[in-house]
Amino acid sequence: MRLRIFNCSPKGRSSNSRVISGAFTRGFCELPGNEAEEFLVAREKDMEKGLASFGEAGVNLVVFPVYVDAMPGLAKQFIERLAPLKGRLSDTRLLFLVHTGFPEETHTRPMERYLNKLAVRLGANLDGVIRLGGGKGIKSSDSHQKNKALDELTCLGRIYAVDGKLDARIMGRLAGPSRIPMLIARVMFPIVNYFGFGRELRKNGAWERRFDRPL
Amino acid sequence: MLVLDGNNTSCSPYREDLEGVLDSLAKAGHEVNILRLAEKTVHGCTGCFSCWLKTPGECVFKDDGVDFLRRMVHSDLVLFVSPLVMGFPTALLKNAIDRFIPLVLPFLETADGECRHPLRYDRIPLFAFLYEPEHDTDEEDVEIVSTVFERFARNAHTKFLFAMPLSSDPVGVKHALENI
Repeated sequence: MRLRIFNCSPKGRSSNSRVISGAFTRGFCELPGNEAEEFLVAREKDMEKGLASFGEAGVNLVVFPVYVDAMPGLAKQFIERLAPLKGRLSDTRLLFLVHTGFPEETHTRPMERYLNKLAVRLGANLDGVIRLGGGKGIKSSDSHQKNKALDELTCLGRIYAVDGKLDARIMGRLAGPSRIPMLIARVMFPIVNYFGFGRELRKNGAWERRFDRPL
Repeated sequence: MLVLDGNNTSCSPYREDLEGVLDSLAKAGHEVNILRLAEKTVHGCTGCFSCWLKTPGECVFKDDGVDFLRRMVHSDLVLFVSPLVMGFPTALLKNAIDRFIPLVLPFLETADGECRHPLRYDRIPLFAFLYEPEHDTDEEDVEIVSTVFERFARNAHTKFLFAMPLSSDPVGVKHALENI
């Protein structure tokens, strides 16, 4: 089976979306005969090519990060250009993968609902919306938790290739908790703020200007 | 009041309906700034986070997006206006909303057990949304879009007042806006 990945991140080749969808794809392609093709929607040529093949037989995986509580403008542009395909997607299966840097699943929940409705609007066969919380910096991190999430995605892709279904337990773990324990927030956030964001700001000589209000 | 118009077509009922709303707002004494995004250059956010980590508060794109943010910071209310396209506001409007990032700080905090970013400025204006329905828009679509705006408002430390159709009840729209 052919998996087409529509990477709708404005960061394209250097995106977390690429790493995250890549982990799923690895699992999917373990099954002999399966293959994958990626379209970086941020490149107009890829957008055109991707749209031309969207209605062909196979599985379409549309992946994007959450930007300001919804899909990025680029992903919305891609969705708008799917309009002519309404009712012509009976041979394709559809998957969405939405990720956010925040750990809670509440940040991806509205998009899950929107994408479910979008599939109905398109008349497409939706196999599911994969949600990933806590995905910020996943491409550059070697933390156990982030590697574990990528391993889980590979496992999800492997199971999907065989059964054509997304494992509900893995999906739940990837989506993240509804709330984070207050104790964790109190201990972790000052560390992340000072040593994570703070280190980047200091490296860029911007620490003293971190609260600037140029407007 | 800042009106952010995400219309990307020349559809005349929409324009007429919006003009009617703008007139009634002016008559009610509101100072209204309108930004028609189709006539502006607002580059989409590329997620580079320079506005957090390299040039705090400043986007790398020196386009009309900067003007939008300046006007937004100095407004009491932002009225987002857009046709629904595939069940959601236009990409044109969403591109502008994505440029909101410099208005918050990179750091993390929690509110009601959920993460968000602290504000860079003292306050963010209230939000409301006027939409032009599609032929197949239903209650679920409006609920979904309203939830997204509620989440946006929550993470922007402000309130989302309402989502209303632009055309079906001009008196209701006028009433809702005049009573903000």
